[in-house]
Amino acid sequence: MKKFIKKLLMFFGLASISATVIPAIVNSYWEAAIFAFQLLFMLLVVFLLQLLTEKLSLKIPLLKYFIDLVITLSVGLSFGWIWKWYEPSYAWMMFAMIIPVYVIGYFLDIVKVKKDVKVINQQIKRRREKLRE
Amino acid sequence: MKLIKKQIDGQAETEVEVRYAKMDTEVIKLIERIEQTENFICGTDNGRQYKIRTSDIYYAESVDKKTFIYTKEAVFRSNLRLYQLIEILKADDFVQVSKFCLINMNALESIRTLFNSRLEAILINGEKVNVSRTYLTNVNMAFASKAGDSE
Repeated sequence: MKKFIKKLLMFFGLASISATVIPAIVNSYWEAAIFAFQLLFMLLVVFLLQLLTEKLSLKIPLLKYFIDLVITLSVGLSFGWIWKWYEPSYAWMMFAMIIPVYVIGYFLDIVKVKKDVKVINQQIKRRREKLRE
Repeated sequence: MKLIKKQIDGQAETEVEVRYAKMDTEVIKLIERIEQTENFICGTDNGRQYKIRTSDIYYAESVDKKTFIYTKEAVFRSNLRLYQLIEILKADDFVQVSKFCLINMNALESIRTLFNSRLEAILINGEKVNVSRTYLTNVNMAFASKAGDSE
């Protein structure tokens, strides 16, 4: 299911870029394509910075999530300000868009980890029983 | 070939006795395979060098670029780096649980999650070792592949 969703989102991203670039070439309407590439560049910067936080090998996962969230918010707000994606009075919308994604992502991660740990503990138990035989 | 397994209470060490009428290629190969199951690693403790059976190792940890090997009752310092130990021990029942730690799967009692989303492995002697979430899939796959091997 996870692979399916990842593939779907990846193709969605590619299709979005294609859907803005082709009409831009044909109709010389570049605004949508420029926005798509700005978004792509912003995400690239976010991912690169998050790669750096991976190197820190933080012992507390919650702290890592918090730092990743701060990076995304900072980069999003900064680029949004530079490229005039929003009026200053609507900057709160960036928080409203990004924070829920991270909160949901964090809780989904907890559920997955608990599931993995349960499976591993069952395997440990089975293995110890087999060794005793 | 007959395989006889016998559990003896109080047996200190596992013994394997191979009985044969003639030392032929089949017997030689069997003995070689049994010998390969016993690997040793060198470690030092208080300036003395020891030969440590890999099956006696509970876990190995790298701290400040120094590698320490933990058995049930002792701690040894190894000249090998963790990545070198991983190469040597990968054929044995060892799994990497974090960037700095390798655990013997036979010494693992359970893994549990802590309230701040951290993970902890509890060993059969009660010791606790940090497990990184990044390596959880690694641990799962190691147990799954060993289970597949033994079936």
